[in-house]
Amino acid sequence: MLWHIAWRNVWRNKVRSLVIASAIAIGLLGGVFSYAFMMGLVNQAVRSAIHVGLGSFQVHHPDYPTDRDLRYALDDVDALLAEVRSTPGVVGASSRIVGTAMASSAVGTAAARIVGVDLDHDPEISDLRTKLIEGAYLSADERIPLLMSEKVADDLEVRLRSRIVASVVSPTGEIVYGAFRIVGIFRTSDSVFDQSNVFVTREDLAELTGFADNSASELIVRIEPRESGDAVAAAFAAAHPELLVRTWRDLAPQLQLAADFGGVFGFGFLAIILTALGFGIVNTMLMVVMERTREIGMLMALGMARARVFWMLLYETAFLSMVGGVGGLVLSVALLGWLGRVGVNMQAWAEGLAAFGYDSMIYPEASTSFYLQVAGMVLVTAFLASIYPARRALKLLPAEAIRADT
Amino acid sequence: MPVIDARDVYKTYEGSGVPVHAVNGISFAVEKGEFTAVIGPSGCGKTTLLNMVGGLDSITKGEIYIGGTQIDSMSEAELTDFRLKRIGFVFQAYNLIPVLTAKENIEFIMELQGIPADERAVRSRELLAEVGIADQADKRPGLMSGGQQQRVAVARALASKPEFVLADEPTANLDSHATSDLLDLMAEMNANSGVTFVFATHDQRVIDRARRVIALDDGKIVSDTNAG
Repeated sequence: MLWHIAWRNVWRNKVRSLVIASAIAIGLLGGVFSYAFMMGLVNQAVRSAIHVGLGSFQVHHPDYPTDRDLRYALDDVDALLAEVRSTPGVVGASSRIVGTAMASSAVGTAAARIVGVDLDHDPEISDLRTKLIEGAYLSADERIPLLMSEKVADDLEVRLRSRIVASVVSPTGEIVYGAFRIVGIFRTSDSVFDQSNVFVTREDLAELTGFADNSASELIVRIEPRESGDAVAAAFAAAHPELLVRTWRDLAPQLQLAADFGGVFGFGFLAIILTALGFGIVNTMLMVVMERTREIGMLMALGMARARVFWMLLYETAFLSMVGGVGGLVLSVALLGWLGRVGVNMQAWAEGLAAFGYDSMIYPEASTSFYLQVAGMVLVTAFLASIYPARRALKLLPAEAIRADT
Repeated sequence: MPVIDARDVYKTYEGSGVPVHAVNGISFAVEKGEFTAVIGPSGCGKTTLLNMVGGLDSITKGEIYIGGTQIDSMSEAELTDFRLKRIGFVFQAYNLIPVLTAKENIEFIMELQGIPADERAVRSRELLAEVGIADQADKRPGLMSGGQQQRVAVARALASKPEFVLADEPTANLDSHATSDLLDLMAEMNANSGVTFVFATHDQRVIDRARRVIALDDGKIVSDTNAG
């Protein structure tokens, strides 16, 4: 019956209970939205980085990070690709030839990585073709095709079908020159990526530089689900100690930091909101204890043990918090469900966001486990908030309390 | 064996360095089946005496036995359990739980005593019938008259089958008709079921119905008369 009494007590002062429950609901909504927005922002950046260029992990010659030139190549790439493709969780793997180039037009020059992609397998590891804003993806039907970003095209004052000349350092250290025709212009959410990469076919770049068959500058591997990527990479690295295997976390530590910080920030913000709400709950329950001093004294006088009085007030606080908490979570699920579909348009800050690799359309994300954690946090808040008012109630002396004015 | 046996009981408050003797060496005994009123002017110590006898307040000196059990040396938890199982209380302001119905108010005390639900349901119906408000069983206190609420309080006090019922100014908030009805009820329970009642009261109508009247003044018994 303690549960009954506590539940009914919540509704003795409907306006007050609804006010504090609404405060809890709105506070939770704000906290959950902040968390989901942050996670959406960061996860999109991670997904975008993995899907456009990084992959889940990359394999290089151990000396490749030192100079990043065509001398440091992987041998017997077909065998490595066959091995990695047979690994569970691997959804795509492709090899690339990557060199450093100066791309020149009639009016200017831009330094960039020139990436030679495998037309058959690169779509398995890169969504670059979905980022095209003009023209078409690389094709064997085109002669010496090249993709460049809108940003580089603007800098070089070139457009679709324009020809550019790329100078590349060959594996033997010579500078070789090749002409390419722009067949597609892309734009991703990462302006740094856009500024530093141009894409050609693997065959064209190999022919231009004299790159050996069955070799590559790098292997890029995509794994689903994302979380299992580290384990697959570790297993591959253990099987090939002579190679340099790095996950997206190693290749883009700033993204890993953002992902970690995003979660901590989201929970921290939520904790601050719940702490503030906790003080509101404490205040409400103190008023309840003051208003019901005589009633509590009567219960003690009739023989209700202090522990039961404590639990009665704890249940009451928990119910009050749960009304607000459930309301807040329902609102959050509804709002985030909607925003998860339509997105939050941050176009006004698009340029600044792109500089850090973030998209301007944010789709807030929150998992079921996050909602369960929030529900747990609400219950913990309710428990902590009930302690002080309950202790005040327990200090009442029945003989005095039953004669109180309230 | 008396149900209440108070021996040379004192209650002294230390107010501003000057000790105040609210109860000053009182001894009395109440036998089973008595219908006793403790009377006296405001501040004479009636309520303090009842609180001590009911285990709600500590004593400064003396001994109190309830049904042969000494209660003045009990711990707070023991006293709480003792009150729950062996003493019934009726208060001036009814003090029912406003969010529970009449029936639930009675059953709540029995639940605290650990009585099973089916037994609680039967006994609460019997008690409500006994105090004449069986038809009010599902009403909350706010929808009942003062007299009806006090009847629920009497039924609640009897729920634990106590050794006696302490009633502190039970008629103070009632009109004359409700007071008369309540006193009739209590007198009938006393006569028919042998329920022992001890009142603290100013109300002449209660005093008129009491068979024993203990008068206090300045914390001492100044008269103890038995009307037979």
